[in-house]
Amino acid sequence: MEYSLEAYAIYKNYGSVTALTNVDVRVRPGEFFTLLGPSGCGKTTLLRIIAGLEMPDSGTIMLRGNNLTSLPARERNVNTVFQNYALFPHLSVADNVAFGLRSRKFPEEVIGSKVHAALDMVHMTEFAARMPDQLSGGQQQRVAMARALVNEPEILLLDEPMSALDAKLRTTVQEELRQLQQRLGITSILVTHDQDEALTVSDRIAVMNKGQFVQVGTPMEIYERPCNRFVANFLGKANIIEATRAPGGVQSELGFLQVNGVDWETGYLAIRPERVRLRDEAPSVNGVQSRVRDAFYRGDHLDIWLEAGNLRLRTAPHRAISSGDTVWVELPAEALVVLHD
Amino acid sequence: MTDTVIWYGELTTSRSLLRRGLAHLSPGIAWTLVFLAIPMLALIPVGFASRGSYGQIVWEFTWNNFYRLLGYGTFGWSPDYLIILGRSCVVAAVTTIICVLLSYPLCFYIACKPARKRYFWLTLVIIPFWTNLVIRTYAWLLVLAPQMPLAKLASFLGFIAPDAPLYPTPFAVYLGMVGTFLPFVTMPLYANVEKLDWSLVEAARDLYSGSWRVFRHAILPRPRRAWPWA
Repeated sequence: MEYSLEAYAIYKNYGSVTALTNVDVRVRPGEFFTLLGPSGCGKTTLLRIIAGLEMPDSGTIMLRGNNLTSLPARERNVNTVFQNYALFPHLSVADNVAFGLRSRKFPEEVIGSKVHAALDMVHMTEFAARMPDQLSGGQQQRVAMARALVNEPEILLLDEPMSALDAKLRTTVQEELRQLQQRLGITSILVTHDQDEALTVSDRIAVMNKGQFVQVGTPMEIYERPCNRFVANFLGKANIIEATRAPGGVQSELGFLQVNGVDWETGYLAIRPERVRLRDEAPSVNGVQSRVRDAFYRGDHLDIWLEAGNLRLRTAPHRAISSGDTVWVELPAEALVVLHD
Repeated sequence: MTDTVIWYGELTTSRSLLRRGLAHLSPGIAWTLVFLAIPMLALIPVGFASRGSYGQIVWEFTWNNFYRLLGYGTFGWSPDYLIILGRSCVVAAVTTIICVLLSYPLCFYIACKPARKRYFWLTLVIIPFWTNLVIRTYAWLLVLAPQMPLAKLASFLGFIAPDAPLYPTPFAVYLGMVGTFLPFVTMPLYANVEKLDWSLVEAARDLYSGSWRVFRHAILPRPRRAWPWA
């Protein structure tokens, strides 16, 4: 299949600090690809290397088959939305958006209509004459988007563009961003440490840690089938159960659990809190009876902590459960994920 | 509660901030007033006074001094003073330009160094201040003396006569002036350059700008506020 962006064997060191080790990326055309990871995992470094703001120590970057590796940022058809937006403070919104076009010496009439179209895409046409310091954070972010999109880049790069927005605004902007990207069909790469953001906007997510890709997959694959404890804990909450292989499943502190696909002698299983099911009586398999240690009412759900195995489960708040109750729960075999450390 | 502001994380009023600011500044202001501003202002009436036979100030007020400045001396009009005045202005202007041109690369060089090394370089720039200006100027005389390599090179290249010193020449004057005033330009310029937002430079590069455009839009607007100081 033809990829929009490919990067092979990218290594990057900063003095004694290794930022990236043997990273391979393949992004499909029109895809929204997210680099997700904790601070210092190398995701921003990788993005900057793709943008051309940094050079890798070794490795190759190809854009639609063209080798970009030695080209500086200004010769790549790639645009970035920066974390702090980096709007030029002495230029108006319209001039900011027109900046890339003017650098490439487009004629003024063409610039006018393109700028208007770009501002229209982000609903900022009325602000064309304002200066950046007269805009709110969310508005500045839209202008930064328009400034990148107006150049019709082959790849749009976004460096934690929503980290400076307040939580409520963030959800709205995430959804709008996804809609915009789908409408334009532009290949986009987002860098974030916010797992909700990654799950909301992405077609595929690459979870990174310590300069390497840990797991790459769709949001559902990453969330439902994490490959190891790091991914399981990084996205959402997970119950991690230590276990030893037994015929038909595993033996753990919760007893025998039936599960398929165990390919180690000792290891870990994971199950998401919302997949742990509350039962009125003992289920046929994978049942655990336990005292409730804590129960927290959260409005739309209950968070329950069990004493057995320190399990955490999330359930609809129909039943009144409080600490001290004894309940039966089921860990469905298909919801148990075999982790490979 | 009237008009509270948050100043670097502290909740206060702008009036209190103003008072605090003035309190901090008042020693400096007082010093400048007493030792700089007032003596300069005191010169204004002296400019209108006359000269006695022994060179002392005679408090007879007249426009005479200003006439002489404009050229109307004892022997008729001559442009000498005006030429001198004009030359001083030209030297000052050229010195400023040279200092700014030299300071910019210096400031960027220092700003690009890792944070720990920066103060080392700034100290190097400041150290000459610790030596008296007169002594420094005399030191230039030594450097430009005929026996020194610089003068020998100049005479070899035919700019001056053999065995002549490189002073008094405009070159020597500019050398001394720039050397004296370069730190005055570098320090405020550096303060501005250090606060430069490098993400603007990166944004400009990402948006297809060549070096000149990057300079014009990402770098220049910021340090422009330092120019009046220069």
